[in-house]
Amino acid sequence: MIRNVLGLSATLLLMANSCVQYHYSPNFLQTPYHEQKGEAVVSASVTGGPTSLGGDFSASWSPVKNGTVMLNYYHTRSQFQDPNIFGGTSYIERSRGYLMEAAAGGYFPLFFGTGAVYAGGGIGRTRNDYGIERIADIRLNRFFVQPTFTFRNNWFRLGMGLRMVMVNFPKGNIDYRIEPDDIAVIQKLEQESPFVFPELGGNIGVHFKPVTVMAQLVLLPTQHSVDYGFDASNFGIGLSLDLHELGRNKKKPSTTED
Amino acid sequence: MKKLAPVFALLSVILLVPACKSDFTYYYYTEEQTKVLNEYLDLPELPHDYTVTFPSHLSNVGLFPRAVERDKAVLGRVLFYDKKLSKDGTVSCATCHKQDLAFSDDKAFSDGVYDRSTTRNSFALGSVANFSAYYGTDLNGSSAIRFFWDNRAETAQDQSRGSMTNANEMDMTMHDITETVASQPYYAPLFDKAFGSTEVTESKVLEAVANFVNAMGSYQSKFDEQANNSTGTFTGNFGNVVYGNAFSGFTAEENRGKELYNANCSSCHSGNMGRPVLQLANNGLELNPTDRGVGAITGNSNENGSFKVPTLRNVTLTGPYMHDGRFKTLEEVIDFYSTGIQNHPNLHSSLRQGSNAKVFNFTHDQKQDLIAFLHTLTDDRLLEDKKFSDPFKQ
Repeated sequence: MIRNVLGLSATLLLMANSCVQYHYSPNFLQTPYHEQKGEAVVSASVTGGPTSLGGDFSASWSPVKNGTVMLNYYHTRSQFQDPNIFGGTSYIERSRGYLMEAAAGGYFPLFFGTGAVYAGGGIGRTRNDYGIERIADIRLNRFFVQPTFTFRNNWFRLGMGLRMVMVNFPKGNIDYRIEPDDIAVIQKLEQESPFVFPELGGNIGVHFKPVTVMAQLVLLPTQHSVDYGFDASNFGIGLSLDLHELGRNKKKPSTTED
Repeated sequence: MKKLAPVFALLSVILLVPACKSDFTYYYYTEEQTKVLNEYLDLPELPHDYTVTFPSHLSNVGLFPRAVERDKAVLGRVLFYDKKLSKDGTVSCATCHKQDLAFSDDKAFSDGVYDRSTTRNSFALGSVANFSAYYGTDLNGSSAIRFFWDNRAETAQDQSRGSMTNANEMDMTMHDITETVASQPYYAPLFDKAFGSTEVTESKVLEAVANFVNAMGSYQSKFDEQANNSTGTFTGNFGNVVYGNAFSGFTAEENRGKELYNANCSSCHSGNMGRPVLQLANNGLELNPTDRGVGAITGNSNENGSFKVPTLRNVTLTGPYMHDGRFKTLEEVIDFYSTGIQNHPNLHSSLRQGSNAKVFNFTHDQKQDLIAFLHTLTDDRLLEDKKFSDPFKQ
């Protein structure tokens, strides 16, 4: 099973982004697996492909029954592969960006698994280098509402959701030497912002108490990736740690406290 | 319900966000560069867009303009108008190629340095859809439009070098040019933007001018507007199309003129004004021409008295006409074609009738119709476009 997950992960990593400049890249769609008050999870994933590398970090906690708060941080950078005079390849950083956000939501048991709805928002920034120090530095903020479905048992985890996002680009500092075609895309961002679109995401994992090895995927199934230079997908593998399982393997957490 | 308060708070923020307006700042020159440039030049804070996009009636038949690099065109514009690049500091490219005349001159022979004169009429750079246009994939080959009346320059670089170093025009050496350019403070920022370095070389100067010249073009006339909405007949010759049907946006006079033009002129000058059908022709101006034209370049006696065939875009503005500016008006030109073609041995076949020179014998009304049609080839946008104007502070 693990071998299959890792194999799929490697394939998807190789298929990942070939472009190097993005004005928006979706972070993973986090689906906290909370079912009880007091549960807390931290997770870290790596994401990327031949030209990009990123990290996605998340922490969630259920402080009250059926309620969760969540923090996400996503950082990505991509490189341009440039053949150098020695016959090798130089990697020049062309893009980097981050997104950090907070969210809150509620979860509720379903006939099979758990349903949840989260809403949150945060800020981010992308800095694209178009060569010879031609930089487009753009701030963004993002708000989202996401219904999710999760299923967990002692060894398996599956989560999926639909995230409705609104991305706004409030500020930018743009070197106008950037090629006219790229400038045109940036001007479209400025004029047409904010953007509202759906993102589909999910993760699958194998749980080894208190750790879960997981693969995550998020897709942006709209034309935005073509029209506005948004990253169409993001795939990664990572680990999550169920903090509430640390040091209490034998004792079941309370289900009645509030 | 109380527990959902944070969610409602977030949703409220979401609803407020669309009210936020994006505020992007675009920068091109540094503050220091702007200060230097503003002392000498009137350039916009952000550079003009020099992209050339052909109307569909031209691109649909495989005619394309060469890509223009904006930052090089910005530099090229300054070089084009800089009189310091001539021996006595009185002549620039723009002296012979005036924007309000579709980049032609209203003198038969243009003014050069030290009161010298050019030996031919200045060719109108706005007489074509675009000098860098090419057909299919043939960038510099037989479909590309060459420069000078005798077609001796293959590219805008060759043409620029020719004019800069011509004793009757700017009378400089390319070494003089690069030294002069390097000594002017306003060029450093422009070279920096165009080439990523302030170093001035001959090839960079020529490349910049070529980008500016290649951006020039005339392709937004009344004729283009109508041709875009019409279906023509492909003649099988380098994207040449003839529009036989009347244009709905033309007057009756203009349509009659178009009909006459198609029947009598388009086989050389082209039916869609994309590129000339013929690169060169002897049009029977005289029996014993003193200027051998293309023949003097190629050494081929069959080309003696032959000259470039232009398309006729903006032709109402580009007089006087012919390589030596012998005809002051279009009426004189049409009169010549009507009854004045000389039977030179090299006379082009389309101007022959049997072994004699053709006599078109246009009536007075036909001449007026033709001239009315030729007026539809004027592209006013090119004449007023600020990005092609003199950037120097007066």
